[in-house]
Amino acid sequence: MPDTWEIDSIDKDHLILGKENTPCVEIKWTRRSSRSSLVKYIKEFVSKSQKLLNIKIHELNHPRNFIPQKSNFEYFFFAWESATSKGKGVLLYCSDCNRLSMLRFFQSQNQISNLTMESIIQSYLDHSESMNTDWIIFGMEFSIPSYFQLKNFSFNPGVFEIGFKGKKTLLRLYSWGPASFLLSQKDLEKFARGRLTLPQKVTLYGNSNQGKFFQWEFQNPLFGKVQTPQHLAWMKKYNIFRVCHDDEKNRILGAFIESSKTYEHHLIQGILCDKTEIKYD
Amino acid sequence: MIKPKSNMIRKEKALLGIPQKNTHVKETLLDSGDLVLTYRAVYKPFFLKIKKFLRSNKNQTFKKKIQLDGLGVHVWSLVDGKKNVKSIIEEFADYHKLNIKESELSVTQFLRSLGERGLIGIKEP
Repeated sequence: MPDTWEIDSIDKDHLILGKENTPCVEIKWTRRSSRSSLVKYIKEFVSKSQKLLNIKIHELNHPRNFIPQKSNFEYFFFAWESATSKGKGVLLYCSDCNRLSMLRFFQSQNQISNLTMESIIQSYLDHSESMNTDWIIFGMEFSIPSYFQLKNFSFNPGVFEIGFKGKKTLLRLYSWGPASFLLSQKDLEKFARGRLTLPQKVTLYGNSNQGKFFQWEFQNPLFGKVQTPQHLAWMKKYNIFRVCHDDEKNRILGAFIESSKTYEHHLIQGILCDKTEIKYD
Repeated sequence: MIKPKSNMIRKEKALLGIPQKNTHVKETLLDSGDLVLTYRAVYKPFFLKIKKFLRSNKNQTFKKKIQLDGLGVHVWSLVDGKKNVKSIIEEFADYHKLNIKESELSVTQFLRSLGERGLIGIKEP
């Protein structure tokens, strides 16, 4: 994707990337039910899209010199037009995961060349080829196991938050900024304590390749100050919260993990502060 | 599936608007670096009725203060009557190393709240 394209909107089944407040590409994906045939499914999808978006879709031949890079994809190229905009697009069906994706380019507004369009199509993946999924979103870069599903996200002045869920584990990632302002009157530890109720004792702290970090590991009691009865111990959650000051990007990054099984140390290592130099308290 | 936003053009146009400070606003810089803006606000109709009932003074306005923190002060200083909203967003993002989207969200929300209080107006380009 061109560097200047930013996320305009993201959800569980769609993504819009835009430049200077105009959309560049909409990516929509859906899973095909096993009952319907592929042709019928695509026809229904196209007809639904035309009605919903108030656009007309015409089938196109494969572009000249287009050599599919991935054998698991079937490509259906199209042109679309609405009253105010037009462009080209492609439907991609993945035979591995039965997912149908639509990439719709807003060419008339942004003068996206066919070359750019084709290189995006060629690089498109609808599922991870490894056990992990890499995310780059609003300056945050992280890699999480593929079974984690996006649950929610919010983008408010000064903080971006994104939440995932997978195998009874909740993961919330934060990015606060600008750090120079947020840490002008308090240190990183105090800042973290202002965001979450944390135990007095810091579990880990030190310097990573990103910057200074603090980590807490704790279990929240189920009934306030009353000790949790033994037979309800299984309801307890194992929490890890790590904050890291990324000096270079002027951000404070945070990761909170809540798991019902154990402290997910391997997960937090992969998300924040890789290659960490840890000093034990 | 999301329809292309119909307010795209309006938004683009709004970003070209030039914020102008209300000249009746009094600025007081505190030692902490925060800035206090003092302005006159109009009583809400409910309170005007109470005032009338109590036969208190007939002033329809009262003094109100708002304290800006470091980031607010920075945006306030960028409102010079020449720069448009877009360039304020860019300058703010550049200075604080923020993503442009994040800067846009913060600055527009801040300017909107100033506008609602009558501290600034937006001049069309």
